[in-house]
Formats: sequence, C-alpha cells, structure tokens
Amino acid sequence: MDPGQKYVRRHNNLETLIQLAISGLAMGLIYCLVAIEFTLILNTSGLMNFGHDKYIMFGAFLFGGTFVIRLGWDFLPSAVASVLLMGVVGIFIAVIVFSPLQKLPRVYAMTGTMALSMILQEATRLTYGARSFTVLGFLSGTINFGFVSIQRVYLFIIIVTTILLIFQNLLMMKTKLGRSFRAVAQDKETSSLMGINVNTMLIASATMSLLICGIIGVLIIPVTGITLGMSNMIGSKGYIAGVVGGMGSLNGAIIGGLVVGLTEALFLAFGGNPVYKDVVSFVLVVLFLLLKPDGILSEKKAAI
Amino acid sequence: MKENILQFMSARWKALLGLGFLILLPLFIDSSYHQIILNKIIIHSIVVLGLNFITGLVGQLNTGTAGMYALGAYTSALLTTRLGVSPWIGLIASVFMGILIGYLLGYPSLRVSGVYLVLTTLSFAEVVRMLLTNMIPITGGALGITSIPEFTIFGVKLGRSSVGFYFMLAAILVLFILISNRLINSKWGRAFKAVRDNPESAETAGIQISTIKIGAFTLASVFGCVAGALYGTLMGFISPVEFTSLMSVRFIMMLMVGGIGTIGGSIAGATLVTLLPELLRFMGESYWLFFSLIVLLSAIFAPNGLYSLYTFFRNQANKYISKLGGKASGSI
Repeated sequence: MDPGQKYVRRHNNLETLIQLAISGLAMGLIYCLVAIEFTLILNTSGLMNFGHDKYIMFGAFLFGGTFVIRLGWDFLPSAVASVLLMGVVGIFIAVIVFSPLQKLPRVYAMTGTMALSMILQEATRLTYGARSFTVLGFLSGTINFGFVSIQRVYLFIIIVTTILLIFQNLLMMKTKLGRSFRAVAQDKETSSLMGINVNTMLIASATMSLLICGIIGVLIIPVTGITLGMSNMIGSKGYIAGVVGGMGSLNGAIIGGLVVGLTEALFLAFGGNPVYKDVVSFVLVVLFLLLKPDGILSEKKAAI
Repeated sequence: MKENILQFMSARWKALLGLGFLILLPLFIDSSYHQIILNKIIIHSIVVLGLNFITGLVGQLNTGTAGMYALGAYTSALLTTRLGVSPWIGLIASVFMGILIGYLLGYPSLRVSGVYLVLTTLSFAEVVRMLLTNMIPITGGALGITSIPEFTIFGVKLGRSSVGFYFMLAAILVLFILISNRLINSKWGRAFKAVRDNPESAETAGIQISTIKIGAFTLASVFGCVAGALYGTLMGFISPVEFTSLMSVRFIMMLMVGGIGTIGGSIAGATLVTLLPELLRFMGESYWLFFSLIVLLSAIFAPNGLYSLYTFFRNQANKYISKLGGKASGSI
C-alpha cells in the first residue's frame, strides 16, 4: 500500500481513529488503576503482590455471579456491595497473609503471594464453575456523537476512573492517612519511629488496593466478560505500567498506564496486526527494563 | 558429626542406592498411564534441577521457565516433524537453543534484579507463548505440532510408555544429576551462593558477577530446553496453550516445596507436584486449591520446603533419643 492510499484510508476512517483513541484512553486509565493498586501494597510492605489480577477477577465474579445473577440485585447496589466486600477481604488478607509474608526473604514472599492468588482462582472456579458468563445489559451498547458512535463502557470507564484518580490524589495529598502513606513509602523505619503504625498502614493500603481491584473488575466486565482468565493480560499490563512510569511511584503509575494505553492505541491506529497488540506492551517493558528501569518519573521509592 | 544413617553412608553408596531404586522402579509400574506419569516426573525433575541454579543457588527468581521449556520443545519438534531429522539431533539442537536463551536472558539479568527480573522473565515467557501462538505458518499456531516421532536406539523404537524410553530418560536424569552435583560442589557452586548471599563481597573476592549470572541462566535454560524436547517426544503433541505463566509458577513451586538449593530437594519437589493430581484425586475438583494452600503455609512456616520439615522431625527425634540414652547419646 503506497503512502497516499494509507492517508486516504485513515482519513476516511476518522471514526475508527476516534474510537481507537477512546478505547486506548479507557484501557490506559484501567492500567493506571491496576498499577496504583499494586503500588499501594508495594510501598507499605515491600511486597510485590503477584497474582493481583486474580483479585480483579474475583471482584468481577462477586459482582456478576453473586450479586447480580444469584441474588438478583440491581447493578449499582451490586457494584457497591461487591466493592465493599472486596475491601473486607483485603483486611483479612493483609492480616493473615501479607503481614507474615513481608518479613520473609523475597523469593518466599513472592511465591506466597502467587500461591495466594492460586487459592483465590481455585476458590472462584469451585464456587462459580469454570464456564465464562457475562452480565447482560450492563454498560452495553453505544452512544452516538454525530458521526461517531462510541461504546458506552469506555466512556463509563473514563469517567469513573478519572473521578477515582482525582479522589485518590486528594486522599494522598490532603488527608492524614495519605501523608502517613507517603511517609511510609519514603522510609518505613523512620516513619514508625515518628509514631506511624506501619502495620495499620499495610492493612489500610491492602484494603484500598482490593477496593480498587473490585472497581476495576466491575468496570471491565463488558470488555472481557466474566471468565477465569479475564484479567491476566490486564494484570501484566499493570506491571508494565508500573515499570514504565516508575516503580513505586503513584504518579508514575498514572503516567505509565497512560503510556501503555497510548502505545497500544498507536500500534493499532497505524495498522498493526491486532493479534500482536499485547506483544507490543511486553516489548515496551523489556526496552524500559534494559534502558531505563527507573521508569519515566524515576522517583526513588520503597526498595524492592 | 554423623547424625543419621544416610550420613553414615558415603556419597557413593547413596548414589548406588538411588541408582538401584531407579532401575527397579519399572517393576512396580503396572500401567502405561503410570509409566507416562513417571516419565513426566523425570522430565520435570530435569527442569527443576536447572531452575535450581538460577533461583536456588544464585537467588534470582526466574518466572520464565515455561518459555525455555516451550522453546526447547518446539525446536526439537519442528526439526523432527518439518525437516525429518532424528530426535537425537533435535535434542542436541535444543541444547544449543538453551545456550542461546541463556545469553538472551542472562544479559538483561545483569541490569535488573529482584522484582524487575521477575517481570522480565515473565514477559519473556509470555512473548514466547504469544509468538508461538500467532506465527501460524511456522508453528501451526494454537493447533500445535502433532505426530512428534519417538527416539530410536540402534533401530529399536522407544515407545512413549515403554520401559526402554524410561531407562533412556532415567539415564539422562542421572547425567544431569551428576552435572549438577559436580557444579554445586565446585567453585562454581560456591560462587553461585556467594553472589546470592552478598554480591558486593563476592565481587571483592574476585568473582565476576556477570559470568555467574549468565552461566546460571544458561544452565537453567539448557536443562529446561532439553527437558522440553524430551517432553515433546513423550507427549507426541505440543501446543503453545499449555506453556502458560501458570506452568512457570508450578516449576517454582516444585523448587520451593522440595527444598531450595539441593538436588534431592529439586527431585522431591518435582515428584510431589507432578504426582499431586493423582494423589489428591479423591479431593476431586479442589486439589489445586488444597495444594496452593499448602504452598502458602509452607512459604510462611517452612521456607525450605520438605527439607526443613525433614530436618525438623529429625532433630526432634534426635532429642528424644538422646533423652532416652542418657549420656551416651545415640541418634537416628
């Protein structure tokens, strides 16, 4: 295809471009949230929560399987209930698993988190069955803006995640909890000397992390369906976002997520084979790991 | 101080005992299904022995083992099915593939460590899987490669569940055990552990960290690739669908559960995790849940896997016997 033809083709498909931009932005924001949720735990305990994608999956199953389908609730109460339930689960996991694991050498701690995610996946499989299903009528359909029709779910994701990110930022900057968190992220020992209960911070951040996982799980249902492997790629892209933006930095997580989403969208916009869309992100992370492992923001955070 | 009967025997006797056990084992196998499981255990042991070098000894968590396994399997399978060469050539080719991967992964491992290395190896395995799935003209995509030929020695075909194949695998395992043993008990093994425990001191002592890391990765990938090639011939069919990150995690679990850093531990862990679906069949659907629970608990309470349980019970027994024996302390 000569360049002239390509230009004409793209110009005729302005709608496609806009749709790609919207979906890229939406997924990028999702990756931001994923990066934030594991950074929260990383900063307060030094634990890399492997298998965090299984928590996202669990949130989705709670929403769709238990509340909407089994109990027949409406969407909004179901969403609120499943997210809150995820928070409660977060408290339990923090106390029972993360607390003891963080003191172990890294290899065992990582294996422990992996095992925990396996347990969660198996428990989900046993409870809900291995069939994938979905929630009908939830954020489905498209909205028309003139010549462009955009999927409702992407718009919803953009709005909800933006609100969540603003809320998260306010929490970190303006509240005592946020200041304590930032202190612990900078220097755990000195923070505990200053009177901050580091263990409480771990529980708080794990709770927040799982709350966010629940929200992510609910949001991506129209995109991925409810299935055991729904969040595998998203989880990996979350790590990639963390590395790209700067591991351990919350602002970096946001930038990283947007960069990953943008890269994918650009790849598709320039006619890349959609089959290789995921490979692009992995190549991106390998490049960053080799050339700039500190990420874009390069803020020195918790020692990993 | 010899504390148990196993230590009364020199290493040579222990080896003979193990060898005898290996040779006599087929007598107890009554079905080809069990024979294949046994063969799988041997192949998994080889992978874990390799993984032991980089994760056990050098302490760098490697979550890309499935990628090495897959590449070894595909190298041999493609050569034997598409080009019609003998599986022995395929085996040798997988060794070279292992060396290549070792360098490929070893160099990044010099620049990244810890969590970053986990992500790098994870990305490697995932990229391998995605490429194998999507490069359909070459690899056949998700449909995989079928009719992988079996090995032949002097014109005799070694069937998948035949005793002959088992002895061939056992011989290869013994070879790898010998190699591992020589390496662990040599200056290489000590250098590996030194880099794990304190890289700065190791460097001061004159150990080249880059050589050590690349070497450990190469060992892991050569073992993994050879095992992959053998796996291809064992199953006769491979597909990228099975080489997931879950498989990499299973290999890590084998290493952890058995006892990190030791040869016996690697084999014990591989045996246990491979046998698990069979042993826990009575649990029906929940066996993996149960096993993950055990791994989690053992990560918290018994980090050295089965080996630490073994030493714990042995010490308890020794204390008990000492109390019985009074001043002449015997021990088991």
